[in-house]
Amino acid sequence: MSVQSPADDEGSRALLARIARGDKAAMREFYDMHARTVHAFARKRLRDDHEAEGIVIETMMVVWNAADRFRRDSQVRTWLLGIAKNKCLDVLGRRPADEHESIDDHHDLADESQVQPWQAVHEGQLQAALRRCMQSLSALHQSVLHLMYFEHLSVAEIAQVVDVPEGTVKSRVSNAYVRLRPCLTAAGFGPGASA
Amino acid sequence: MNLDAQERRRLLDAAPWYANGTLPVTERHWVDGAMQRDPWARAVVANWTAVGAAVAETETVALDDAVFDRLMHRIEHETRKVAVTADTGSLLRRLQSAMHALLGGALSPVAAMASVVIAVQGIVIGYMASGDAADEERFRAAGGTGRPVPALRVMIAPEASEAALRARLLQLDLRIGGGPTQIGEYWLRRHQPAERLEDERAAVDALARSLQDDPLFVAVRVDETQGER
Repeated sequence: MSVQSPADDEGSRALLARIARGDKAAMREFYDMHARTVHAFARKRLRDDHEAEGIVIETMMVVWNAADRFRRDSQVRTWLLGIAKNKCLDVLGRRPADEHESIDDHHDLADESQVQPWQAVHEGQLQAALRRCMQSLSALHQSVLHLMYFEHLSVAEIAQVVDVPEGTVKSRVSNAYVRLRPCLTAAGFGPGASA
Repeated sequence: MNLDAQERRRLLDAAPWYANGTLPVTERHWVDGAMQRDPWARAVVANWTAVGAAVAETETVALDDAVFDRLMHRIEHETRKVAVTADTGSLLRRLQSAMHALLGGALSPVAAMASVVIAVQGIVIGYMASGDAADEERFRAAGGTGRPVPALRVMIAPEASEAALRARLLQLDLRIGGGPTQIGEYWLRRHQPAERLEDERAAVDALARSLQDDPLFVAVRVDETQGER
């Protein structure tokens, strides 16, 4: 799990300043700090290990070439994930059309019947079922959940990374929750027990 | 007292972010209170906490050291190209000095200078040609043939929005003529190129100079490719 402190961000900014001057040792340090974050995100988004490694290289090349263009008002990790997201879109754009995802970004959050809590009587079993059911989500939904619970980004930060309004991020999150439901119901975790 | 319909909507909106720890403090306190009042609220938050735990437990794959080696190879390759171009001036001076020492007064300063320029051009062009061979190979493989066409070769700034980019291309009467390369570069071409190659080169050179400090582009250079894909 990756939680970034303000000190980490300051350290990353200092490294970017050195990278902008062509410091390769700083590039190594920056890579050690952030490559796994980019890799984990790209794996979720592309579902392909080899392509995810390529995204790490492409993203770090942009860092090397554009470190001096980093905007001081954003976090380094958010900036980096935004670059990685754009690189992922390049890869997805080259894939056949039938692999493109159809996303309903406008799911109605108010539809309460679809977001009733699951039964949580068997915690261990629920965890196992959730991990299995999450595999059935689209890569886009998985990547949003990854940014939420692996990178611990806020709704505003995720909106910045994926370049959509905050409302759209919330809709995607809600949508992911709703899409987990049939799988969890089939696994014996139906809604409503605690309602 | 259980939550009313409006409060339930508020909780559904807040619960995912409560579970990932990024909810603002005031909203977080409200969720705490809601959970004390209503078992339904506790169940919703528990569900999101379970989702978060499941995501966090997802197996991570270690990144192969070879990836870093590939990155450094790319950096070395591209940095060397830039360095050769930037060092042309100092190399010119060093060669001029060396030639002068070798030839003494046997060659006029103008003739010596001309010899040096030709030598340096040969070195730089030869180097750039070898450095770009891979990209040109990919370009030809993609079907590009025909007479040389001067183009801008650019890397688009990561923070550039599509709208801003479109507006800039429209303003400059440019279009995207190819790309991306493996490092994410694109070829930009003029919509209405000049008929004479020399005129087109001059126009593209001027565009390249004007875009050097443009925030939409990270790197701008002039490139001559065979046709376009």
